Amino acid sequence: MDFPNLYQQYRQMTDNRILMSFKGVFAQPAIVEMATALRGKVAARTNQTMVMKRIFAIFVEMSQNILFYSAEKEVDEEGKESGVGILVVSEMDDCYCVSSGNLMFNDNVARIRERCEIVSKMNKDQLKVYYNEQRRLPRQSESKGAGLGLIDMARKSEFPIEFDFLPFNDETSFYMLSVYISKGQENAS
Amino acid sequence: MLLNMILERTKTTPGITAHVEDGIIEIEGEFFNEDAVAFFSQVVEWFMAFTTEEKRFLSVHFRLTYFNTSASKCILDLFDRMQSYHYTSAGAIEAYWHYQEDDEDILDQGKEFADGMDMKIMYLPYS
Repeated sequence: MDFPNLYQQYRQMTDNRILMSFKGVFAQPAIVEMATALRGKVAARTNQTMVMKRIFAIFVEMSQNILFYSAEKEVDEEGKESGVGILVVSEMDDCYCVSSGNLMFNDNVARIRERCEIVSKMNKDQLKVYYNEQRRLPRQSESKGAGLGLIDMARKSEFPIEFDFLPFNDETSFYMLSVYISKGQENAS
Repeated sequence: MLLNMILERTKTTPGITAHVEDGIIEIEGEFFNEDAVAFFSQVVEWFMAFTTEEKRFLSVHFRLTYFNTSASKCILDLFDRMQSYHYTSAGAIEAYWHYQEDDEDILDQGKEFADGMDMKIMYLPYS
């Protein structure tokens, strides 16, 4: 029998309280379905509207980052290109964690790492100023995103963003990002 | 001649109602489509046509529950254009920022768009 570690994967994901996990192509229609499902799932667990909205927002930003910026692309039957990556939403005792991973060309690592470091060290007021400065910059022509996602995610979280880069092959590295959302004051239910 | 513009709300784009005679634009829903520029350019085009051809009083209502960062850049661009219209045709524009009463993030975002602008903008909670 050849089950590809199914039991171990299932066991591990259950033990780690994974609400949602996806590895594959982040095409826009899939993002819409997953984000909508995630919203329902979190709403069933919390009466904190802001917790639900922030997890949703972070999920969308991370998914669209993968869609636009992952170095690994797949082309669908209509010729539309979308990025490949992994995204995991998990529950902890007092917070939720949204994590994304995708390949990035090594040439970009230093620049993105620096940006992550800057953002992870900023307090709320500094993030607000930085966000509004960056939003005033012209769009970069090669990107459809505004490049604001990272700052926006950090602003929605009560904790510093976490990030790391691991070598993947000669050309690319695996970029990981985690954002935590505090559960806040849950009403007993 | 400028025509009314009605765009139905979809899963990832807000509904748009732009009414010439009433001088009103309403943007209601959420945005997480992948191409914010393409979507919001329709609103900007209508806005520019109204403010150059009709040159009358215009009220702009935002009733958004979520928009991604790419859309936030487009909305800022719209605010800039509204502020310019306010400069050239003093008092000819009013903005209404509607927010769910417990949604502090949306309220804060509205205030940040208007930061440093002196056109009339009202923040209206709804439940």
